[in-house]
Amino acid sequence: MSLAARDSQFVIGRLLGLRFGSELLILGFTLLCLVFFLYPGIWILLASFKTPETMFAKGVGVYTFQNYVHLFESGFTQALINSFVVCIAAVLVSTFVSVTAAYAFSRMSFKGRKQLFQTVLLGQTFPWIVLVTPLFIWFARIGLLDNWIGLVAAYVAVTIPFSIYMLVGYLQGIPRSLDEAALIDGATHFQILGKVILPVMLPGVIATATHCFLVCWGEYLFALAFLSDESLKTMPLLLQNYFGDGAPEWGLVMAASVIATVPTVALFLPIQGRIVSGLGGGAVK
Amino acid sequence: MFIKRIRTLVLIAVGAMTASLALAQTTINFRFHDVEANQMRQALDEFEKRNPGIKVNLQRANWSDGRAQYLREAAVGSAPDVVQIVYVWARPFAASGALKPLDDLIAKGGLGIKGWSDFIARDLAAGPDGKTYAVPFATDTFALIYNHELLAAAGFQSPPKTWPEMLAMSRTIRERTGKQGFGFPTGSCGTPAIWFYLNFYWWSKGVNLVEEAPNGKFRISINAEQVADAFNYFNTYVKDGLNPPSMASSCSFGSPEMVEGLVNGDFAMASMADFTAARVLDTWNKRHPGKPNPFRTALHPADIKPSTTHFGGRMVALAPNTKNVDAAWKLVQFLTQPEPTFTKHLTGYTPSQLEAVRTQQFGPGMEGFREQLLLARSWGPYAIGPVSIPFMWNASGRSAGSVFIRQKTAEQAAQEFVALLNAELAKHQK
Amino acid sequence: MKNRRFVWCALAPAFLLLGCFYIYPIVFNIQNSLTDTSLFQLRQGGNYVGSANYFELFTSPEFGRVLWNTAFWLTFVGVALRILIGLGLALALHSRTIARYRLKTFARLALIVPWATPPIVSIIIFKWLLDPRVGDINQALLGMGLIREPIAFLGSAHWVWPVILLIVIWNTLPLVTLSFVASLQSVPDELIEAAEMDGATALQVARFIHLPHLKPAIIVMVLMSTFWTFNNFVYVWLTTGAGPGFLTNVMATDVYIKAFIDGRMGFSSAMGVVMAAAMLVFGVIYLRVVAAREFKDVLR
Repeated sequence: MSLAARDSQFVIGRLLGLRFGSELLILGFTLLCLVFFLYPGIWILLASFKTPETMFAKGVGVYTFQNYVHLFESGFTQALINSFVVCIAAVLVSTFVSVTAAYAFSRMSFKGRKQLFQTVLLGQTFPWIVLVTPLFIWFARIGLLDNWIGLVAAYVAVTIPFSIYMLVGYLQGIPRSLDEAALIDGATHFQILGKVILPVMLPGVIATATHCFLVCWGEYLFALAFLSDESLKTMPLLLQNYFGDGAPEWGLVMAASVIATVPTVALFLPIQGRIVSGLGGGAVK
Repeated sequence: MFIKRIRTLVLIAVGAMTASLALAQTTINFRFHDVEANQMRQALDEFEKRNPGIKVNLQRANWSDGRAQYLREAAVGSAPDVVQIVYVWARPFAASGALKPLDDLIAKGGLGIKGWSDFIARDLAAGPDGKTYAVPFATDTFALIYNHELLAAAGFQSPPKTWPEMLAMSRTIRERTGKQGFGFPTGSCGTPAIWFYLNFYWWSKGVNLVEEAPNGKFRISINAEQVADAFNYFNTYVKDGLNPPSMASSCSFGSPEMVEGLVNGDFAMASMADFTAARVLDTWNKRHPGKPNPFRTALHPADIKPSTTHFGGRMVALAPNTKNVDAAWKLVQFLTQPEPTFTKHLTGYTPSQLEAVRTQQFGPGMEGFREQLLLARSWGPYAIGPVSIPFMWNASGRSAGSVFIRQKTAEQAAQEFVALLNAELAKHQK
Repeated sequence: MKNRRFVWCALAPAFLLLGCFYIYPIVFNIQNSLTDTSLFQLRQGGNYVGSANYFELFTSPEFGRVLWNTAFWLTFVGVALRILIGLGLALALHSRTIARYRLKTFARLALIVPWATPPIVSIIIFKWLLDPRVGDINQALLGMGLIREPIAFLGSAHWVWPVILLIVIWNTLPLVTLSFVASLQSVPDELIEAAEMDGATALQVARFIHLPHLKPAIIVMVLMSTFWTFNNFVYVWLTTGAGPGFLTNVMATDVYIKAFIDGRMGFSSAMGVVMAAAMLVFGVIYLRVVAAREFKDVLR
């Protein structure tokens, strides 16, 4: 239908009073939602630049960089770096393991495939809070406390079920003919996965990896239980610490909150298109 | 032959160097839970200067997470060498083998201003086996802090002496100035402030939650009427709009709602610990430089008994798995001296020793705390009885909380609270 | 056979991790739930009490409230709101109206902020926006004359669940919306144009074309949201601490309170086992209803 035809429909609709009403409704609703989504983010950005005394006082605030300076002097940088290291390591391992496992589930047939896959899917339903004490005791016994390896391993384990789920869904949308062609050429499965399939499923992989990063980045319980050494602590632990016990250092809290969010926002912005298509992976055909 | 001798010499030299290097540097971990981590770090730097060869790692955690965290670590042998705990944790920790007995070390002396016998709350530092498991570090109590200008504006020249008087004053203050009188947090959380106020109320009426019977057994010595009475008293403030509404989202006596509320003059009176009161005075002074501070401190309201508050405080203890007992003990000795820890760094704190309480400079406006400390009592049977204080603390906050939000009547909540305590007692009493 | 070897290599790491990090803790928790181990006696262990913990759990009056909070307030209402609003927003974003104002890209970018914000930061922000003394929301309501006195949202029995849900929705609605948007993008244009030529209004197009197409995505989102929300600890704990009183206590926070505040690790394990079992039931439903269709060839 041509643009002219659509516009004329609009005019007719307006005469009927219907189309215009519904357009206002849609616009209003969408704008309301967008304000709802953006307002808190803008608020904290502005608040982080105000001095703690004027932050909550009524009236205009005094703006300053002091909060951020104070924040970086207090060792937050180390926590940020720690979080980055831990999260990136977890994402890399988790994605690698999930991709290979998803490929095996999707493309290979073997005995017990159905049951194993069901087990993986059920893994997503598990409450993490009951994992803390058993894992703590186990890590203590094998010396993995106060050690990033233990934490990374835990993060990998809890993100695998969802990642495999997403990736298998995505793989289903990729035609087998690609595999088969490569198989005929005598490629090994690893080669097929690496050279043929992976480039095609890249949006799905990116979506999965991003979700995994997001989960690890904000994770608090496991980090709290497994890390005591200040130099190893991740960002959420320090953020919670700034709350003190009923005596939060608000300047630090606001600045730390903004800094904690910036990496994930920056991460999402360029790839949000890929994420969306990755999410719709299974359904998009 | 010659080469063999050289080799032996080299080995001895290397061995000696390694040994001396190892001896040269001992590192101990110190777990600290208060917010003044920076100040403690400075005190520790001073300690390291005075004890070359010992390095102290300052670990920080929250009070709310710290208890479970330490217990987990102690259970698997990875607890920090020295840990800062609250008074009321010492006995339950000792009972579960999470702390090292200290009697031998204490006998060697070198603790405090006037020695071990001058320490406050030594009874709380003992485990069920009678051995001492912790060294009292700092002590505090709650006193009443009030804005005398606000009181004067409503026609009052002095703070309230009884609980009904405080309620009446709050009403008058509200009528005459539009501000609230006595403000207190009504939110619930793991360590709610209402626990303290409820107990001060009960103690002033001669009632205790837990008492020890002559045969060594414990009993819940409060009945539902007395509990409901206290719940009703505090609920009156909430019901009649005499408590600032923002208090509903706060549960700690040191929360921004309390501090900011006092500093902004939203309400006139509050009850809080000395280090929080110091912060209130400090914040006010920063915002109004040059003006005289309007805050004063006084004893809590009393009833048939004189004004009674608790001995709050911190202790320091050693983990049972510590490998560096000497270094750890040196740190403990260092921390019990007023100089430099209390005089230069943690200046808002009072050492947990009688001599210190007598001579502590409380700063202008804080005299009420000295008076109150001298009238304070130990938790006593609460701490050594079978029902743990954290349990009662949490339960009281939630019971009172359900009354404040009108989910239950005071009588209902009181009945459930007493039943809960009795059930818990029955479960743990041998 | 190179197939066998590949399958082994591909699956072994994943299942090794799952075994260590899921199976072992489940076994530990089941064992623990049959004892009365306390936090204070972790090293010594506890006494065997059989099913006493479970019995106490199911007969306690608190359990009913906790279950109701978790199942109805947190999960059911939370999921329903997210699906409904997510659908509405996705349809709106996909509509021609938005395309005309070129809001679509801006909207997608705006959705990123709440999605990328860590939960603890979201809670900090909203707690302050809702603060009775200085929060913007109360200021606005007072300014507009809608209320005379500020509302203490987090201390009021009426407002506390809406507030928690508000924060959860703010943080997680983007994911739901974007997956619906992704699904909508695959609706063939010809179908829509044919319908419009027949005179269908936008509403009818949405009802008869878009919704049926979205059905698989909706079902998936319903189930995934249910899993994420039912087990969630952070949002309730950091916002209200399961208070006021015990009003907003959910299963995950109760597990935490029983384990780390009351010190009853055995009892808390029993609760954890019950949680896992409840979710297992949902998981089986999910396997039958969704997975069977979505993963047809894998689950043959």
